[in-house]
Amino acid sequence: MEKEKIIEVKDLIFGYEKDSTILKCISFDIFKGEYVTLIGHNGSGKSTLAKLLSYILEPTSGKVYIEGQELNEKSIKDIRSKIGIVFQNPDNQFIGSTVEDDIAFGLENRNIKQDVMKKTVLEFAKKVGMDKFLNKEPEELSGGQKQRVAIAGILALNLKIIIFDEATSMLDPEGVEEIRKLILNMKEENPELTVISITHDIEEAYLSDRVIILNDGKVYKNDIPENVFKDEEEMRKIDLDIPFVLKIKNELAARNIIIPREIKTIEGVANYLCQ
Amino acid sequence: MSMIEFHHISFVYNKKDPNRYDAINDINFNIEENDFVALVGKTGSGKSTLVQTLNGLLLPSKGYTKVKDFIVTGDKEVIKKLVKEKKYKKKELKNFSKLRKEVGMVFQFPEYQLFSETVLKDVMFGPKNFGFSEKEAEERAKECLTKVGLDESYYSRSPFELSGGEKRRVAIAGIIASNPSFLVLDEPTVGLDPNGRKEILNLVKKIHEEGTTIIIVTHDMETVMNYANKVIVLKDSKYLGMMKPSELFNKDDIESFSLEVPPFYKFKRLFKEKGYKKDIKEANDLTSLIDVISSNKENNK
Amino acid sequence: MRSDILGKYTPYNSIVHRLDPRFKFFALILLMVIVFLPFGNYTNRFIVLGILSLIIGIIMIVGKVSFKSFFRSLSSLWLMFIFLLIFMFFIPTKGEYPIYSFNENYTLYWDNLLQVLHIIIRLVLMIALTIILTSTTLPMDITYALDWYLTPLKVVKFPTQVVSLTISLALRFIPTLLNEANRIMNAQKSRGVDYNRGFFVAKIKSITTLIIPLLVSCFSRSDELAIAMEARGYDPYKTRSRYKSLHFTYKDLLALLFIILVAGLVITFSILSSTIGGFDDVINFIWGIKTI
Repeated sequence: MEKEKIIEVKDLIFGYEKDSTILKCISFDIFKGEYVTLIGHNGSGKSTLAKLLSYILEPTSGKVYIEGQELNEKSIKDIRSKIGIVFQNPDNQFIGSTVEDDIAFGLENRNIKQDVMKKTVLEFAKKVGMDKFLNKEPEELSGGQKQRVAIAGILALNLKIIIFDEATSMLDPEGVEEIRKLILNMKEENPELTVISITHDIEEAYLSDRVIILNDGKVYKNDIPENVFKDEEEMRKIDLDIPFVLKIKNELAARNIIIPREIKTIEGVANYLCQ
Repeated sequence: MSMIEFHHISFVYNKKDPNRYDAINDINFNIEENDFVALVGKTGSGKSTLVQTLNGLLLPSKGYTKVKDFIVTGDKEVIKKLVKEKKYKKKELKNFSKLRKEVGMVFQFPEYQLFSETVLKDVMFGPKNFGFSEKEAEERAKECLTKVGLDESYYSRSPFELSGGEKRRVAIAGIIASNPSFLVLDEPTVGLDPNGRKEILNLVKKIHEEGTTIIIVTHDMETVMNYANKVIVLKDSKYLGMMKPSELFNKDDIESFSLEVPPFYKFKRLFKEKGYKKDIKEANDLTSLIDVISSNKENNK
Repeated sequence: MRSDILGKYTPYNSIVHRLDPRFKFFALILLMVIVFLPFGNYTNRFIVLGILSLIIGIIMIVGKVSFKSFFRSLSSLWLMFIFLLIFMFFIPTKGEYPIYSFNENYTLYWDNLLQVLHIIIRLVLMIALTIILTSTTLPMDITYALDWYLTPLKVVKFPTQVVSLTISLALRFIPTLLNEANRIMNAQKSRGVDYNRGFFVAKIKSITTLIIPLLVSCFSRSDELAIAMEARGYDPYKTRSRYKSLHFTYKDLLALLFIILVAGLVITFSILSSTIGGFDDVINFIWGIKTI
């Protein structure tokens, strides 16, 4: 069965100056309903790629297609109505003065009627577990809560693609966990939704459908998490660690105990071993 | 005698308000010279408030913080007593500039303290405030920039054109340039990628090895495990205890500390619950733990 | 830690809180104007100001405005009070009731003191009014009210929505920036900056250590904010719907009538006192009309 391409990146090159390129010819596809994580250390070009995907930067050459439509000056407004982005700094994307105002911001921009808006805001506040905080101001919220509000604001717009641009890197461990779970819930509830997460969090990457590793401005790996992180030595070479569960699996494999691929959590491994 | 003593200190925000908030409550413990201490606890447990009493940015509402011979307190009774016993003059208890030279403080996002036109000038700013001569300050600044891994080519650059990680290193250089005996870091690695984090932490480790006492506030248990020699846990504004990191993570009631346990100890705990009691107690790394488990499994067969 | 800002919104649910912000905004302006009307001689002035203070005081109590924070905000007025007194002392104007005559050319009058008191009372009332508005109305609602008053300007293509959004964003970021400023100051204090000490040059130097980093952070924040807004489909030239709307109820109408009544009375009194004279005369005049 042929899966439907939703994003197509073709021979993308980008450099601020002519002779130094940050992205050196990048190509990959993302399919509808996929949860893809993009990882790579600082300087690998991943944050630049995020900016190109949302057209905050313009590529030097190469093209990005969203649902077959080329991303450019003309199509950007159209495409903005398909892509939502959750940014890194929770404070700088909180636009409304309260939780409900912030969730409503995107809806207001689409000129949605007030009574419809009220219902939608409540519905999505509930989905991210913020319905009890509707009239709270941003200073009264934790970083994780603010990011959940941002996510609600995007979900409320009923978009097809959500990009998380290092959305957890400024949160405390609790916040990181909240967002990780929320993404998985979101995906479960709406399998059509395409999620691209640009992250340092390899544990999150391990839970996604596919991992793309950028290194030195090129696509270094593009595969399911098991295959990508298989070789610990190789990952070390490009300064990346591997998920903890895979470390356990590798140690066990060295002792001829093979854990099935479906088991992805430490609880699962422990249960399997104690059977 | 300990180098840092927290003497039953409490700190209250908005004392007479409906929003009254007890940030720390009757905290009492000591930190020794040359320790590398990690201060952990959930957001809002009072970690930042506690460390800000170390150089007089906040004055404890009750009790006092003692750093070497300096006393930090806002408790009128303590002040009265100390002045009465003629140990301190009232003026001394209100002037913290000497104390601030002793206690270097690195805040979250330290890059936001940069303001000078060149990197070198910014690093010299602290030492000059603390009475170093121009020449001394410059020497210290150059030395510290080398220590944080920035060479001569950076001296005359504007700090604002550097990358995030570089800015942070300049900021840290600016603090250690005053040659403090204590370095307090409040979540210095927030917003950095794993490599950036490692760089900063290794730098802190180096500074520690050269004889500076380190107090680091962090959420990251990997930092605690790999760098600190002692860990202090705060919960709901209270002090829960000071121990070795491995001791903390091996605790059976670690849940009650509301901390994020590193995956290794989570994994180990699962086996404890499943009946592997004695044999894994000594296993403090993954390989040895797996050794025990796999050999056990074979025996069972 | 929550920052304690003067006249910050307090989340009570009093009648004053529930009133339509458009009405509150109007009442604020109206009462401010009234406070500054002329009322003839000093007896008149102080009687009217006394009555107004009473009314404003009652509104403050009903609206649960913290008197503590109100008086704290007045502390800066002391300096002005003293300054005005000194000013009056050196440049005495002519008055009716002398306190002390130093020589022929230099006499101090009670009038001067009353003048200072008059200015101060009016300022205090103005501050009280502003605090009532800000502590009983969400910043967002004030913005909505302002936006409503600006609506007529739409005819001349004035971008009212942009203005009101800008104001609400500014209000939204005040606490965030205060926290940031606090963090920067702490960091600089730890580097030996003393913001309290030193004279002019030293002070300016220490303030730059705060201002420059704060500006740098503001710029990067506004950059990110603009990107976030754009990413969520914000277009200043498109019509946007409103999540919240304002409701003018019968309570607002009653309050409006009351305020207009008060204002009407005070204005009438002001006109009469300027044409007829002292308080007694005005009262007599009114009685006179009645008996006629």
